[in-house]
Amino acid sequence: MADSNISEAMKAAVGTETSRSTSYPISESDIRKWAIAVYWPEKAPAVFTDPAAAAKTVHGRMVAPEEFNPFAWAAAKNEFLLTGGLPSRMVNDPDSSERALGIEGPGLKFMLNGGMICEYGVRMGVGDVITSTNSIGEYSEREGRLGLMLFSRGISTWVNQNGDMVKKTTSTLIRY
Amino acid sequence: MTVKVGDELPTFTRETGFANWNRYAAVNDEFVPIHMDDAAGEAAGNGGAFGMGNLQWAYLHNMLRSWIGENGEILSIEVQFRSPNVKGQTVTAKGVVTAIDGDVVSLDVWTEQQEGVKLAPGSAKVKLGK
Amino acid sequence: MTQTYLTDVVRDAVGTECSRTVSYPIEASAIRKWALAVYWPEPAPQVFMDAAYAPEDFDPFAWGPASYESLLEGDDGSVIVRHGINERALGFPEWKFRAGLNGGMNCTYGVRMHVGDVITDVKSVGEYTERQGRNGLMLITQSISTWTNQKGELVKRTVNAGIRY
Repeated sequence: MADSNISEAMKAAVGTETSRSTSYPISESDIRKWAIAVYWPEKAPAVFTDPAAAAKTVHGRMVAPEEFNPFAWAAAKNEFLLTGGLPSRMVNDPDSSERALGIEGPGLKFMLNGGMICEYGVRMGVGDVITSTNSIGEYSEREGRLGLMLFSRGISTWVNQNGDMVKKTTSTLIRY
Repeated sequence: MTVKVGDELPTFTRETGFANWNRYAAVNDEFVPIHMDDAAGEAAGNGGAFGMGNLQWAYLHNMLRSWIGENGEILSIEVQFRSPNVKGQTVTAKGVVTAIDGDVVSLDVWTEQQEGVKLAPGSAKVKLGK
Repeated sequence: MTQTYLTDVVRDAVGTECSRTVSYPIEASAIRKWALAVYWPEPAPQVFMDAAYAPEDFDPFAWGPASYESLLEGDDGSVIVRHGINERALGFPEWKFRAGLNGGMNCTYGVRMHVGDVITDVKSVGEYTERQGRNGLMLITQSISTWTNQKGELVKRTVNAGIRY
């Protein structure tokens, strides 16, 4: 097996929080429009459009579709938590996330979208304020058809104003 | 509802094109040239403008929500975007039960176009509503 | 060839209220997104990001009203006419035109729209006139849209002009 592409610095970076965003309070109209758009041209389920119908469900209030994005168009606050990053060497630099952390990346040439997995917690509803924190996920590697492939993960964790987990998204990048 | 491995979920189908891509762009603030403009979509190798993966993601969620009912929960879902949603496609979100563990049901889920070519394959775990 | 568009049924209809549409309560996020869209790619003014009030051109009926009712006898309102008036339901003849043009809009503004306001839009028949032109007899119409808020205050009165021939 070729030398590992995962440096000690990269291993040490796992868990580092890179940015945080806070949403505006979720409104009824945001939920209604999202539901109209994703169910179009059929009518969206009443739980997403009618507060009276929604109040009768197990949620007791209007909740958003699980994949709803409360950060669309604007966030109430955006914070970048990293300092001392290295500049990108090129457009779409495969090492961009390591360089943003201020460390050298493995210098691999090719990138592929390795997919996304979401785990859902509590539902988002009217009035909720969601905080999203991005962090560096685990690195792993394995030999494949294309050679030694590096899997790196970006984690996005959403919590509501009560600190309840709303969603955890892990996005995987494959480099080789 | 009694569920067993191999059960196929009721499908969710949409004819896709600018009418739904634009509506989704408006709510998700996803105004990207490849999804809005034929010249940009062609330059990206897809013959013209094509739909966003996030809308395929939403259609998979619509299919699951309909099956699990208001009291059910989508626990997790993962997907890869393999083939683009180009103009003129009828997209169907489908699912099949692969395992049952207590009240947690595991599924293979995917979207496919009218000839059965998979656009976005993936898997999901849900809890059915009581 | 049409002698006149302005038959009795058309003349008598001027001033008739045709429909009442009511909006959902206006929310801050709708004002923010409208402002972001109309000012893009520059940032929207802070007064709109704070949703202190809505831009005058804001449309609280975008994406759908909370309710729609027809005010015309014999019209059950199942055909929702979002813009303009329901000429079919008024009993106007089924005219056939070669072309229709937007003749422009004239708005008079009253009070500003704020978060929480519920807006009612009553559409009514404005002036219908005709004149001979290069393209033959042209029908020039006005449909009027009057918006009031939950306190009955005038928010906006719009006269939409159309030209058909």
